[in-house]
Parts: sequence; structure tokens; C-alpha cells
Amino acid sequence: MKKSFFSLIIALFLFVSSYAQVEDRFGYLDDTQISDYVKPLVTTLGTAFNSASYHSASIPKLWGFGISFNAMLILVPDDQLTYTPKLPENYIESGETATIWGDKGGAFAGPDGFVVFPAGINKSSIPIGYPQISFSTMGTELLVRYLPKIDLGETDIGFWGLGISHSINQYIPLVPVDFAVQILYNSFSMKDLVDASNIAFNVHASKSFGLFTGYAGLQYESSSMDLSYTYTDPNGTNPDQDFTVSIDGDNSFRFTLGGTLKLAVVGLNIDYSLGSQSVVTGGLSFEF
Amino acid sequence: MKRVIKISLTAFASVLLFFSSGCDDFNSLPLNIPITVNFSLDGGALSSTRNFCLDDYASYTDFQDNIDKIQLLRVIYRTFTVNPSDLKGDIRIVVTQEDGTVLVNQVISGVTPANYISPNQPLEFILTQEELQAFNAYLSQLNNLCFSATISVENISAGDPPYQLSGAVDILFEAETSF
Repeated sequence: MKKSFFSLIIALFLFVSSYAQVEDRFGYLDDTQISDYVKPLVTTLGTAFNSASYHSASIPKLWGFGISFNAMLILVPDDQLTYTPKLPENYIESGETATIWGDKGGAFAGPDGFVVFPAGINKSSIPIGYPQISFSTMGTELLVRYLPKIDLGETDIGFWGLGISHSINQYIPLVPVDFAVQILYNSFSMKDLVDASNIAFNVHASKSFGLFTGYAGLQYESSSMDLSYTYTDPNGTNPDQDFTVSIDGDNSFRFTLGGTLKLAVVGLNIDYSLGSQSVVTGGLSFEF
Repeated sequence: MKRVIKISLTAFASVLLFFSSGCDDFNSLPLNIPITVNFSLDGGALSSTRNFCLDDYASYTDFQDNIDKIQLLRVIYRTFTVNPSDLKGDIRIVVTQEDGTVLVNQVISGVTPANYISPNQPLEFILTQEELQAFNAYLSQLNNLCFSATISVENISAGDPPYQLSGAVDILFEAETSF
């Protein structure tokens, strides 16, 4: 148990520890240019933290407790790997440059020399993982996600989330499937750097066939991030400037389809969600 | 039951670590490094030589210790001021290594420098494959990257002396860095 929990911390940490190199890239862009570069990252965080909130719509009426470990692989589409940058006045060269998940940054010649843009991290699939616990009674489930503050030296990270699901089929006898509605909120922060929040509403349904439960859901979600960083003029002309910008992700609707294999208290689930960035989610749960 | 839980945890942790293993890409950073060499020419014969090293530029030195490879991408020319405004001639750029070995020797004929004053677009030198290979071979040493650049206006066909010309040559490098 300790080993797997630690593995999940490592997974989240590995994503976060890359932020040192990520921040180097931010520093080349002023506050008018940073949004297009960072938006796919905001979408990724929203996709991650708005995932793995259910693997069944059957919610106990008496009492239930569960602990689960979730891992997901987020798939960034090609059209989010590059963007068309805003160039200074009188620059007529055109082209694309990398977003944070893209590859090489662009360079454009014009009346005042070269204008250069930062490279991306060159990744189109991003792994993230985290644990969560749930409590349920009277057809209502409370989902809690929490990681204590982790000190990374120059900053620290914090993560928490809350979700509430309510069974609807309990009011409708003889319905052949279970279905429920859910609201979910997550917050992720890196002190003095990033403050990200994500919210989701969904309706999901499931049906069991012995050890196997199939489930599906439709979700509306949104994500946003406040980013603080220091801009450094790559041509060395202007002094450093501190910026704080608010960026919304491209998250909106997603459709999820998955299945759970349950043996006594142990459940293994996998699902695929189709959205702005698609995601494959796997979970290991212990439910009592 | 304990065995089932243990196997499930091990399998899940293994899958998780597999997905988490691809973090090498986070530690590499391809960089565009632009440098600008300003020059000023005046008199009857328009020619100016500037010596410069890459470590004169913060855009290079900020990442110098982490650069694995650097190569030349583009060279452009811009005019700041010119007198007389109708000055016309052939613009030649010669770049040599510190020991005098010629890396680039390019000429563009019939240039009116006034046409390359902002907000007009710069003039780009199109280097040959041999020039690019020679330049990048010199860059591969990664140390003491110093150059001598001579820019001159030859075969002046318009405008009367005394002549004055100031401008810049912008050079774009691409570096592969690792952290």
C-alpha cells in the first residue's frame, strides 16, 4: 500500500518537477503571448483533475467506503501542439510555433531583427496520477482527493478535490441501469507560481454483468489557471518584468466509456474519455 | 485476498511507473539564439570589420554550460541610416574563424541600403550548403566561438561621396541543450 501510494506521488511529482524547465520557456513570452503557449497545459490539468471521479453509478444506500489509486494518460491532439504567434507590427513572415507540449519554437525575421519563441516540451501524451477516497450513504457519495503540501525547495505544491454524487435511479423503480449525477471541484497549486482550479458536472450510468460493470457518462467541465512568472526579453533590450495572467483551458464536454472488473473488494477499471484532450484512465480501488 | 491485493497493487504501480518513465524529454530544450552585430561604415570605401564571440551575448551565455550542439540557421541584414539615400552597390559579408579561415563569403548585387530601413523587411543572405557545413563544423567545437565579420559595399553605382552607412547583421543559431 505504501509503495503504490509513493508511486503515485512520484507520478504527480515527475510532472511537477518538470516545471523548472517549463518556467524557462514561459520567461520568453510577455503577457500578450503567454496564453496561446500555455493554454494546452491548462487544458491538460483540467482533463486530468476532472477524470477518474466515477467507475460505477451504483451508490450504496446504507454505507460505503472506498480508496482508489488513479492513473491517466492524457493525449494532446496535433492542433494543440502549435499555434500562430502574434508578431510585432510590420513583421510579415508567417508560420507556427510550439505550444508548451509542442516541439521547436519559431523564429521570424523582420524590420527589428529576429523575433524568437520558446520551444515546447515535445510530448503529446502526459501521465498523471493521484489517490482518492470516497464515503457513501443514502445513495450519496462524497469523493475526497488530497495531497499534503510537498516542499520542492523553491516552491511547494498542493492538491485537493471534492466531489458529490447522488443516485437518481433510487427514485425510479424498475430502471434497468444505475445512473447518478455528480459535481466535482479540484484545486492544484504551486506556491507563487500556479493556481489552477477545475469544475465538472456530469451524469453517468452503469450496469453490472456479474464481475464486470460497464459505465458511461457525459460531462461538462472547465479549467482555469493563474500563472505568475518573470518575463526576460530574449533580445536583452527590455528589463525583466513580473506578470500574473489568468488562462482558461479548452475543456468543455467529454464522453466517457469504460468498464470495471470487481473481485470482492478489489476493483480494476479502465475508461476512455473523448474531449478537447482525450484521456485513458485506469484505476485500482478497494471498496467496502 | 491478501495475495489478490498485493498482485493488483504491484501491477498498477508497474503500469504507473511505465507511463511515468518518459520524462527525458523534460530535460532537453531546443533554443533559438539570435545575435546582432552592429556596424558603421563611412568614407570613400565602405567597409567595416567587427570581431565578436558568442559569449559576448547573454542569449548564448545563459545556456552555454548546457549546450550540446549549436548550428547556424539564418543571416539577415538591416540598415539603420544611410547617406546619400540613393546609395546603391553590392553588399558583401565575409565571416571568418578566429584564425582567419573563411566560413562565409556572400555578395548580393545591386542593393539600395535605404530599402532595408525599418519598417521595411530585412535582406537575407542565402548561404550555400558548403558555407553552412563549414560554419557548423566550427560551431561543433563549442568553445571559444569567436568570429570576424566584414561587411562592405562594393561597385557603388549610385549616390555621391562622402558615404555613410550604419546597420546590423542578425545571425540566428539553433542550440540543443540538456539539463
